[in-house]
Amino acid sequence: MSDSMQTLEGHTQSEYKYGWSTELDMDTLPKGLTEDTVRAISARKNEPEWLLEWRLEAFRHWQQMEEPVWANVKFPPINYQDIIYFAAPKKKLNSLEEADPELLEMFDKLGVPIEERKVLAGVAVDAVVDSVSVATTFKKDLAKLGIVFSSFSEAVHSHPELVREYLGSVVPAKDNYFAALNSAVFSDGSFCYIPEGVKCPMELSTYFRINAANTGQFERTLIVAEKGSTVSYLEGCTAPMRDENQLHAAVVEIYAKEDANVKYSTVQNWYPGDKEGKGGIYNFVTKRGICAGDRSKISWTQVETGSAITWKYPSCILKGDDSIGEFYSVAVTNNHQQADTGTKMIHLGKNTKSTIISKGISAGRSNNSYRGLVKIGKRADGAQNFSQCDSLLMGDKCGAHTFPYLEVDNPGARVEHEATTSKIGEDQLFYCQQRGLSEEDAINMIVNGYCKEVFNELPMEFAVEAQKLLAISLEGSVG
Amino acid sequence: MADQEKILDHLSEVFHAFESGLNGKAQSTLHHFQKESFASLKQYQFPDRKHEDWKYTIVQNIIAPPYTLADVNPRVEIEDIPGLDTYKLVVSNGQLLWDHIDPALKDAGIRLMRFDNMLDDESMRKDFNRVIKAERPSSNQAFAYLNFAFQSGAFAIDIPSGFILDKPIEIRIVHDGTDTTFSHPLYFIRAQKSSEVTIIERFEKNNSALSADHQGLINASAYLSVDKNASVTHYRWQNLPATYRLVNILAAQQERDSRFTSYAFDIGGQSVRNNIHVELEDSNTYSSLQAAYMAKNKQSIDHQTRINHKVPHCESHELYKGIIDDQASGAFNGKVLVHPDAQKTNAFQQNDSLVLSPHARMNSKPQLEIFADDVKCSHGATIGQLDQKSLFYLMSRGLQKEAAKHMLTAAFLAEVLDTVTIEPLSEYIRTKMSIDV
Amino acid sequence: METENNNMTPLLEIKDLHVSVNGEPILKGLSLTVSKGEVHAIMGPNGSGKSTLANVLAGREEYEVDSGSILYNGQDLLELDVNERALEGIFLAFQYPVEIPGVSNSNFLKSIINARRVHQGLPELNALEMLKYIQGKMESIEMDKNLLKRSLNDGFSGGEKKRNEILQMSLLEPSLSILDETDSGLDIDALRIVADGVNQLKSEDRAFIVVTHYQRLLNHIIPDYVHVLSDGKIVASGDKHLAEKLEAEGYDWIRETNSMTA
Repeated sequence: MSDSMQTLEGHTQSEYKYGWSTELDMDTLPKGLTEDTVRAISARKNEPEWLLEWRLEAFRHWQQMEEPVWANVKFPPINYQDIIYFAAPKKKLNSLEEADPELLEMFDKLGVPIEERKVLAGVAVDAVVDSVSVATTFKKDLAKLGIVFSSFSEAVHSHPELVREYLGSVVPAKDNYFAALNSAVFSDGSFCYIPEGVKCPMELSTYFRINAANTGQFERTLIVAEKGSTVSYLEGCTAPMRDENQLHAAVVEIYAKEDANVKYSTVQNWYPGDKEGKGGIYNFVTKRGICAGDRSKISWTQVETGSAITWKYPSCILKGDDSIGEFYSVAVTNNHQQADTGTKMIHLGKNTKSTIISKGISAGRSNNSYRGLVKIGKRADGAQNFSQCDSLLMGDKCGAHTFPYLEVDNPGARVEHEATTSKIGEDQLFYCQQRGLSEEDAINMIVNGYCKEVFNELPMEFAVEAQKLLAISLEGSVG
Repeated sequence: MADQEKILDHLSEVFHAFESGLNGKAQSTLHHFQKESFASLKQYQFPDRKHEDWKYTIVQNIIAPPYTLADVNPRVEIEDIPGLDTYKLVVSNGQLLWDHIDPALKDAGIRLMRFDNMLDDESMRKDFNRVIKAERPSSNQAFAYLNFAFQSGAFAIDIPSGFILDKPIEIRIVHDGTDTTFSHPLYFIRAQKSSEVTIIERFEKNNSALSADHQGLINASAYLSVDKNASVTHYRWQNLPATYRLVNILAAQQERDSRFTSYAFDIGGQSVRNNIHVELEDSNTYSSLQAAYMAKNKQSIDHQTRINHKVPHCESHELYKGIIDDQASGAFNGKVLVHPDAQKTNAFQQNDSLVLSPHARMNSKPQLEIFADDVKCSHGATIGQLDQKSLFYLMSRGLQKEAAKHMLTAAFLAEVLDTVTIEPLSEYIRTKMSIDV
Repeated sequence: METENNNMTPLLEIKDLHVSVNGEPILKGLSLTVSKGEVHAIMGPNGSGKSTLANVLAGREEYEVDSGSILYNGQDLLELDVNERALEGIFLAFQYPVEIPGVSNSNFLKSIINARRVHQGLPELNALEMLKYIQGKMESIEMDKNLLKRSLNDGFSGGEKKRNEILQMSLLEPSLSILDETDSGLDIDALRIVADGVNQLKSEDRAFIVVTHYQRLLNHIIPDYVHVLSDGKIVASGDKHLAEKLEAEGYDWIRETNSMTA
């Protein structure tokens, strides 16, 4: 191996910088999962009877289900009785001023603005620590427009009719093993409702932090966009470095009506485990949106750099005619990380369009798979899909796999798929260096160029964050 | 196969008649070449429909009529392409008409020679053999041998090292007669090191033809040797009468740093089969194959392409665009082979078709066979109808349906025509394909 | 070989250079002196070591220098990293320019121009100055401005790639430009543009090493010296007439002369 490739490897051996934990005074349930656990969670949230019933039904169904096995993802069996299903900072907050200084400090350290005066212009934040939402900013400003943006548990009480109507409408409680588990034990999350014709004036953002040890995080996000509304939603996350694996099984549901436009961006940076593959988050997430109305649009953008294992397929059900689904993804795996991610585009309506751009980067001994389904239903005349799946390899011990599934039941549909696999070549590095660029600048330039189509889809501040994150994930010094 | 035997028996008769007319040239190098070629034809035979490359053009339909050799019609009349200045050559029923040769060509700085003289020129013959050898292991070889066997009026052109020919060479190819006849045009062009040449090949109707509804087959072959750093651009315009069948072979062999560009435009003929084969012998070559075609009535136009990437750092592009209307049929079968040693190959292949009628058929098979791991290759095919929304849009602005259709089909083919750099030629083809928007 | 004796340190001084790749010797005692203001053409059959020489000067790692020395402006070139050599004014126009998808050509050009300027102690150019500078040079080599927006060399034709190399050379204004078969595969019009790029840059302070297969290029870039490289050594040197002789007669006579003297 030449020097430049060694440096390249060196660049990929960096530390996780959000790995510290904070001492917070916590209210936790004991480890283990029974009906009583589900009842205890529901009781703590003072939930209405229908929601408890909904949870219990999901739980009973989950007990009958078998944990899925995936060909390209390997991990020891999860002991579901060894997990804490509820942990919350004890102090109940009425305003941010009452917040635990430790908590404020924690978000400060993470760089997440939860104090409104410090907030970046144009971003409202819902901060979720372990199982509960601790702060939601700009609520009042948004309420003036009729926008509901709050923690899930709050929405259950303030807007029960909305929650009841849409909860489980896109991802049913029994959808899959982890969705069922989430439905039974989810503790909090974000709820967002955009009324008819309203264009949400700021980015809405949820920040997730797993802090407590031995805890699973099961949050649920529900976004409902009424006719002609528009919203852009961001999600970020981190976790402390711990030797054990922690489970994160979230559900995100998006419901878009006629002419609604929802953009959902994720920068996922859960703790990935150490260089030997010890610890890290199991990120098993179900994200799905339905374009229920004609001409509606849902766009998923994700930058996945963290987690020991990532298993997620943000999907779109394109039910309305002329509706549009998009999926833009950068997934980086390093060391022993495993990622199996992609999307499902289900075309049901006429002239529905979907675009899939997936960029995988594998370094170290990691494995990175794209798994995507494009399904064109019988009635989806004129449906179009374009998929592009590129893989970039750094070093020769990592793997990249592409599994596109195309199911076309309508002869008038147009489905295009492109795939490439390439190596960050010594040729490319040498070329840049021969023009006077340092090795680090050269690597940065090449990798960011490779991801550009996806970064272009992110909101500005997030795109900058994503670029930095990529640099941190793949290099030693940049920060 | 009984049919095949019948056909070969008939061809043997025609060949013996041809031989007996050779008059004293029976011992020549050429005759030797003819005899050998006929023997090879009998040995290899014509491909049948089971052959993958001949799925969409029925060989029997092309070769079954009992053809006889056509006599030369020295009266050839073809319209000039307005504004195009070229060195003109005329090939009538397979024979180069020496008294029709553009006098300016004598002083142009290149060598034009009869095929039999070429066979006696050691260096030319060596290069010719090299190029045809590369073409031989193909499903078209029966047609290649048929062409060689009946060879009499072929020619060769030699472009000397470093020479840049100032005007294109225009080769006008016609066929006519009164009986059911075939002819076998053939030429070989050698572009030596760092030379540059442009060929415009025109398959046209002879306005002084002996008969208006004459049935016939043109079995044409052209071989090109593109030496180091040389540039050859080859245009083929085909507007034959609707009663003619055409089998066409174009084979190019490219040496290091050379460039080869081919354009094929077809609107005429009854059953047209175009075979193009590019053999890349050394690295850093550029090859571009493009075609635009329109098939109407019961026409069939079949394109077969083969690009053989044997060495690293070569680049090839293919863009084939066709419009198929009425009960016509089209086929594209493109092969790009990338051998294990051909690292850093860039190869792109695209075939787009517009099918305008429910009875028209198009078969597209873009194929990439890649055995190297550091390459950039792509291929694609689209087969579609005219976009109804666009059509509606144009009509809503007051255009007649036909005019709107016309505008859209023209736009479809323009992608190929826009890259033709010889303006009068591009204009001429646009007019003939009625895509002068 | 001789160079003009002008009391100044030669720009480049290669002495008895031995280079191997994967243990196999390629250059076997090559010596060459290049002074400012000169154009040296290197010709020779395939595998004679022409490209190796170009790559060693640029600092490619697979090329192992076994013995000998290279002085650049009196300084030991072999001590410098690839990018340090570039910043010191050595430019290699690649035989096969590399494609980097997603990195826009304009962004790349800005980065390399500013990297050089910072190294020279000059202020970085702002966006407007940069655009003006780049577009001016593009015009002078008849390059399509749309190529700025595209990814670096990605999907460029062979001719466009070579032109992009010449553009970078014009923008960086290197002291020593090495053109590794930049003319190969170009038609006559593209060749003229490459030659113009070199001729525009020619000055008393700069030198060029032009590696080529074809004498044709040397009708447009007139070399002061022509060297024939064979089996890792310079076996003949002369002026442009040597190139004409090589074009007409090939390399065999050199090999014969060489084996007779050996």
